[in-house]
Amino acid sequence: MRLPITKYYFIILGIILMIGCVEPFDATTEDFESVLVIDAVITNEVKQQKVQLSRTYRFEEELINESGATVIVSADGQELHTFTENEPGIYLSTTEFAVLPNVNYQLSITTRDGGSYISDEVTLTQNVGIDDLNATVITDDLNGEGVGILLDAYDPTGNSGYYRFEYEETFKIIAPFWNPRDLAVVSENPPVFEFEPRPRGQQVCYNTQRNLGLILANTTGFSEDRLTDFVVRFIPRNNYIISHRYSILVRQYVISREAHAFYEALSELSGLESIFSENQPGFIQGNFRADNNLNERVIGFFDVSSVSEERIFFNYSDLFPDQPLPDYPNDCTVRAPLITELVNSVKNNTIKYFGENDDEDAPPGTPYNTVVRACGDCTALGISEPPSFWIE
Amino acid sequence: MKKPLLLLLLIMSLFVSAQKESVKISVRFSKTPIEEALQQITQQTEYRFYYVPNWLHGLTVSGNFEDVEIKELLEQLFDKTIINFYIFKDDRIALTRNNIIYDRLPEGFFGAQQKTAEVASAKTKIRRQSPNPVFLDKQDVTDTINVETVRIGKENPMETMQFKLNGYVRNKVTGTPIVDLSIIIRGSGKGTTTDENGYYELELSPGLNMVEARSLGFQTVLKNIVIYNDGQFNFELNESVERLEEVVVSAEIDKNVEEVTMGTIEISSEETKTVPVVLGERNLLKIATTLPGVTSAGEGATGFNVRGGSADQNLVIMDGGVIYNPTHFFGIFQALNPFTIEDLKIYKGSIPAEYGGRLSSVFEITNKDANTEEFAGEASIGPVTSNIALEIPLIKEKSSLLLGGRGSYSDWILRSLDEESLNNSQASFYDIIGKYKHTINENNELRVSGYYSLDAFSITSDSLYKYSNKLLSANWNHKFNEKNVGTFLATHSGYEFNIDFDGESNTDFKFGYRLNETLLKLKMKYLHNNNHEFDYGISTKLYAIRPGEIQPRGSESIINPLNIPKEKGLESAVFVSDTYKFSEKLLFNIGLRYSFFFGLGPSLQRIYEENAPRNEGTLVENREYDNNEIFQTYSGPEVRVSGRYFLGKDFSVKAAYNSTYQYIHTLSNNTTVSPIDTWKLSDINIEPQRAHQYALGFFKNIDGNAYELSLEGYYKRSNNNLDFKVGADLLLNETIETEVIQGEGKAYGIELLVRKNQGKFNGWLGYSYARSFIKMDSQFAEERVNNGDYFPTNFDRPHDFSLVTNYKFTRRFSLSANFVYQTGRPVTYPVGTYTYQGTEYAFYSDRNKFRIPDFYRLDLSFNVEGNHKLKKLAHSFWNISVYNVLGRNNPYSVFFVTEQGEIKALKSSIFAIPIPTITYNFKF
Repeated sequence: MRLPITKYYFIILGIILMIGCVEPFDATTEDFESVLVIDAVITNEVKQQKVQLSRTYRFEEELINESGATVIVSADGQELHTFTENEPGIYLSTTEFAVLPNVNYQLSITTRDGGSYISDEVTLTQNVGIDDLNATVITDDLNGEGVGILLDAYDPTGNSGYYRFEYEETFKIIAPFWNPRDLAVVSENPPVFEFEPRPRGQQVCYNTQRNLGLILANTTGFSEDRLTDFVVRFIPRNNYIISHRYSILVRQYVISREAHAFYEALSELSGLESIFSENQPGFIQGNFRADNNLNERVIGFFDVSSVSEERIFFNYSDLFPDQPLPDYPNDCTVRAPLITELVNSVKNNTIKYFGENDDEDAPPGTPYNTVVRACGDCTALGISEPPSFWIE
Repeated sequence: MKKPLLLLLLIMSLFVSAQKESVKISVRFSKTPIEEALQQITQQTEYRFYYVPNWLHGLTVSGNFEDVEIKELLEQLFDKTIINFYIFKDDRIALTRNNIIYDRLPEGFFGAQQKTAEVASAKTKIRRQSPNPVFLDKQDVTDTINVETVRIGKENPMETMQFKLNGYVRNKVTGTPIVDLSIIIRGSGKGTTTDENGYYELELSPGLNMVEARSLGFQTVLKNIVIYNDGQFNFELNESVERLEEVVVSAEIDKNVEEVTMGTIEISSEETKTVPVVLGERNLLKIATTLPGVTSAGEGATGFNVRGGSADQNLVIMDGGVIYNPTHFFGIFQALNPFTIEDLKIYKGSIPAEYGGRLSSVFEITNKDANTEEFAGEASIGPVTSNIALEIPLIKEKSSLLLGGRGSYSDWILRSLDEESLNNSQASFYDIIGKYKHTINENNELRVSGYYSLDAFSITSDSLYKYSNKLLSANWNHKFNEKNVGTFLATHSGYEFNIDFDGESNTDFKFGYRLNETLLKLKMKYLHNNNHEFDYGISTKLYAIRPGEIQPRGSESIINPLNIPKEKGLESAVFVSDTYKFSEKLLFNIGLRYSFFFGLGPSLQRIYEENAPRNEGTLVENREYDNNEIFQTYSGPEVRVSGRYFLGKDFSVKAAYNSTYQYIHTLSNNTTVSPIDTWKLSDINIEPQRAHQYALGFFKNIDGNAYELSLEGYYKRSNNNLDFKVGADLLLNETIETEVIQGEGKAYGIELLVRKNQGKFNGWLGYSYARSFIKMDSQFAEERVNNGDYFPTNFDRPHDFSLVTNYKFTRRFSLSANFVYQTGRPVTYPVGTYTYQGTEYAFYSDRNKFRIPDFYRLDLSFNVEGNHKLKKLAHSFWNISVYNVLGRNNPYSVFFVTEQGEIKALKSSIFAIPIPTITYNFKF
């Protein structure tokens, strides 16, 4: 149970700070330490397993990939699975394989500059399927009414206890102000336009996004190893992504207790909405260590998990029949700009044509009604092609 | 007689001859007032007299004088009085009281050290032809607070080494003589006792003697007796069954060198009056932090770190009962009424055996006993609070009541702030105190104190936030006989905080935490003989804690009620200590305390796998215990030994060893104490904290106690110090033991204190070099911090320098200045970022690897005492302070916010600008 106290406490402190002040200071580069970050989750699915290597980077920098490393997963110290670098920092197993139960796996990495890192020995967790995944209208603590993606899982052996979830959601977008015609610039000066047909693909689009942050669950406080109506994802009712048709793929990882502790510390420390960190910050130790230097720090957890996944679809009208649609993400007010301004907007594709301006009181030189691009062209928010799994 | 004048006269007298024989005078007096007689002489002759008219009041002269010389005349006139005279060459005559004006400087005048040594060393009994005359350093007498100076006899230039002082010692209340009372001359080891009639006789060296009359059951009386001749002085002593060891007056000379305890700090409330304050609030606790060994986490931070201990390791007691949070408004103000407090005593080195339960220190706050004779009061008006204290006599000389109250009117400050979001805020606090004292008879005395403080904040319109302390204590002193005195103490303390959240959404809740403790304690004092003084007793304390409860507020709230089960525990102890005087030079205090802790049911204790980190996965069993069933016992001996050895007359060396146990711990993942920190009792999983401290110190007084010097060093080890895992969540956590790591602590330091107690310019300078480390090692990565190595604690501030000074221009005007410098405290902060599974995280340094910038601050204040006219209705005192004169932007904390995926570093300061304040105080 977490209380929303933290925040208020700091607001209280805030008033004291009024007498004083809060000012930013430069905490950037001075004591930077470049540390290897190992993101390695291998599963019981037969596939090319993936290990991603990067390094810590300065506040003002972009992600730095770690290239040229040797990555090997050994099973019971014998069978070796080698990995090859596919894209910078992304290493895929040379052959497809799935981790097997009751085998000790160990990941070893040798970086280009000679650093050698090894994980603890890890075994596969219990395989637990998703019993049920459904979308239900629920009311959330903070956001009010919305759609909850609820999951049920049960491990009769009681060996699991810790879960991590990932999801990938895909939703249909329909541009509300789509028009079969588009404007094209013929001459800039004097401004002359002509009409051309607008592709159908700009009316209906699809977008796919992944979860941000960690979704963790545990059943250890319960009498049996059962998750019931666990909220994997909550979508507030006014979120446009559920306006038409929505699909979510939930991947359930049964993780070890150690992995759970690691992920939990991560999420406690720097959740996406972290305002002020009242928690004890610090370095989070995973299960890797540097072979030749015990004091060298490595970030990451070699996570060997069993995975199951489930996909569901639903329409807005299934859950909210005859209800108004959520607001479109963009403001779709119709405007009639001066024709002189229109040239650049059309050229830069920032606005879309939406009919002749037949307002009799309109000022001269404003012949066309327009909306911002996303309102008339959904490719601003997604892609036209439905993904392969999409079912209408 | 003003000293400069005396000096001037002395200098002049070096150049003149005292003998001037020429004029003869004839006069006749008949019961003529001396002043009139002197006028008559003046009319007849060239002589001019200089004197203080007061001295001559009521003196008359009679007699016929024919053709006498002025010297002879005056000798006869002043024969029966204590007036001396001196005739200058230029026909001026100075009258003095007691003193003779010498026309040459005595031997050793410029070697004051030598002089005092000789005059005071009565033991050596060197017969000298001409004893040195008595020159009284004004500072020796008048600036010694509370010690009355008595002048005995009229000085005459005879060759006497010793004068006799005799008199009676009586009980001030009953008037009966006090038998077997020891009267001691301080610093000489000489003394006597009164006979069956209360009569005594004592030989004193000429000049200043500090004479102390002490007996079990009576308040010790200390007098500066300036003896010029044989004389008489009667002592009247007040009964004091209680607190025998406490009766020593605070400005007692040589106390710091003489007493056996070390590492103690005493601050009288009065002493803090002139120290610059922030927003007009006198704060003893803040002053304590200017003395070496006591630091706070920062400006406006609650909690103290004493000799490298964490903030929960201090036992703060007021009139015997514990106060859990003695501050208001997040530590910016003290929750103690400066007018009702007599003094604050901090034991950081050798904690008396009667106290226990905290590792680092004891803050002992004592409220005044109200005046039993007449009504008195004191009040102040400051920008944040107003404060009043009243002393009300109920039965004359028997019982009295002390009442104090403070309240804030800070609401308007918030409203006037230039921040819209705060205009609807509310922040107020108050505290009230009452103390009743009743002297039942000469053997029984009763004191009852009650205290309550409350803070309420409503900073956002939807949350109301409160915390409060309460305290009730009753103290009964009983004197069994001359040798045995007992004190029975019963106290009850409570601390609680509540949060009422009434927001926009349906998540309204009420949250509450409550702690109560009840203490019973019996303390006996047995005066075996001159060499042994025993203190012994038992104490037992019952804790009841409601660790957290959350209730939905209103029917629409979707908050699930949750109640963390109550905790109960009993902490008991037996203690004995002997103050053992081995020889004149060597004094010991040998104390032993044996403490027990019983975890009491009803309780649900979780048992975890051995040799595994505690977490949900390693939980083996839940054990249920019935009401008052003992589920866990901890116990152990606590040794408190200290010794003092005189290396010289006012130079001593002291050593101490202390061990302590602590069975109650705060859960806080802040560096500073915050009001939502909760206290947790030891249980099956959380072991008591333990500490050992070794200390050695040198204490030296120069010039009486004009200068006090001390140099102390300590080394401290502690075990089972509580710390928390990265990202620990402490509130409303049912399995708090899974978030806790118990580590080992190590602290050491050197503390230097130089105090100037007297003169126009006084104050102190404190410096300490102190380190504090903690180590959390385990075979499990999750319970290991910084690779299991020692690292600086949150409050490790190696250099700590404080200068507190006061300069008195006159009696009425004084200027004070404080300067404080501290090393910035350690912080953990991100040294980079990394992306893990698609999300960006801050990459933190090793814990406490960095430090925030150093802290320094200068405060000034100007004090104006009202005039000293007796008839005035009220005595007033103005204090004009400027806090943080340099406007130094001292960082209080650094923190990091994630704004649109970017991590931003911010530092906050409290009082970043100079803050001027005027406070008006008056006494009536």
